Amino acid sequence: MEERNPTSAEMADVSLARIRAGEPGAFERLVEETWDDLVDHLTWVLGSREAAEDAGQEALIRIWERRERWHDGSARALVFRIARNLAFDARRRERVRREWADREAVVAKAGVEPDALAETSEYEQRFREALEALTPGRREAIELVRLKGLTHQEAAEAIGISQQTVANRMTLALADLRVLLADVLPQLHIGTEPARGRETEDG
Amino acid sequence: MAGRLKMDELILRHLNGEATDVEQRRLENWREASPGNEVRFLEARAIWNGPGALPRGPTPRP
Repeated sequence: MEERNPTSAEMADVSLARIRAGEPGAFERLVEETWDDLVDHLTWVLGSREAAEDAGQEALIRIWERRERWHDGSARALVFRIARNLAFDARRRERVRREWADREAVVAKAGVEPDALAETSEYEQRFREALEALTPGRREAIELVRLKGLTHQEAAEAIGISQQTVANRMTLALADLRVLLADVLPQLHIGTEPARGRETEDG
Repeated sequence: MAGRLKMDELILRHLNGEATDVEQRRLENWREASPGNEVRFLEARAIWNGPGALPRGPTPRP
């Protein structure tokens, strides 16, 4: 009778039972069978191959360290399930860390009080909502220049249009934003600047 | 209307730190020419920078 190699699924199912039994070589075969797919999948979830490899490695270590707990089933599926949970946890932690870092950076840079920071966050939220109401071209120009800090020239190169077209879109976007944000403008302390001596603040 | 949009273009270049010295002077003169111009400038700056608690002048560029 001709021998055939077991499919991944068959092998993974067997591997879980073998891993639990501590069969030599079973865990190594599981790693070999799942590693590439696992890291590819986690890279898609996390956006970073390095972070994906960390999560994949952690998932496999847990499979091994907790092998006594596992019953019958697909080892491959279990690895993926654990790894996905780890990846989502990592993504949540990273998002929270970034949000706090951003807030701290704003506070450190401007020396603002928490109330002012909340005011800023609320305005940014309104600003982004207003952006959604713009035409795609105007929104793109504003996002590149105002949110990503590109010059008009850099934005033009990024989009593949002329610098003047970027300027036109920005100008029309500003006109839209004047209308869309009209209700919050009085709250933005726009009248507090002295008429003279503004050169220092504005350039 | 076209003149207003042209000034908005200049204001945006200023707020993004891209205005030349000549453009800066032109903007300053325009702002001082009437209270309405000044309000229009401050509105644009408020929209661009957000709440006044965080004044964010133009970013210097090399």
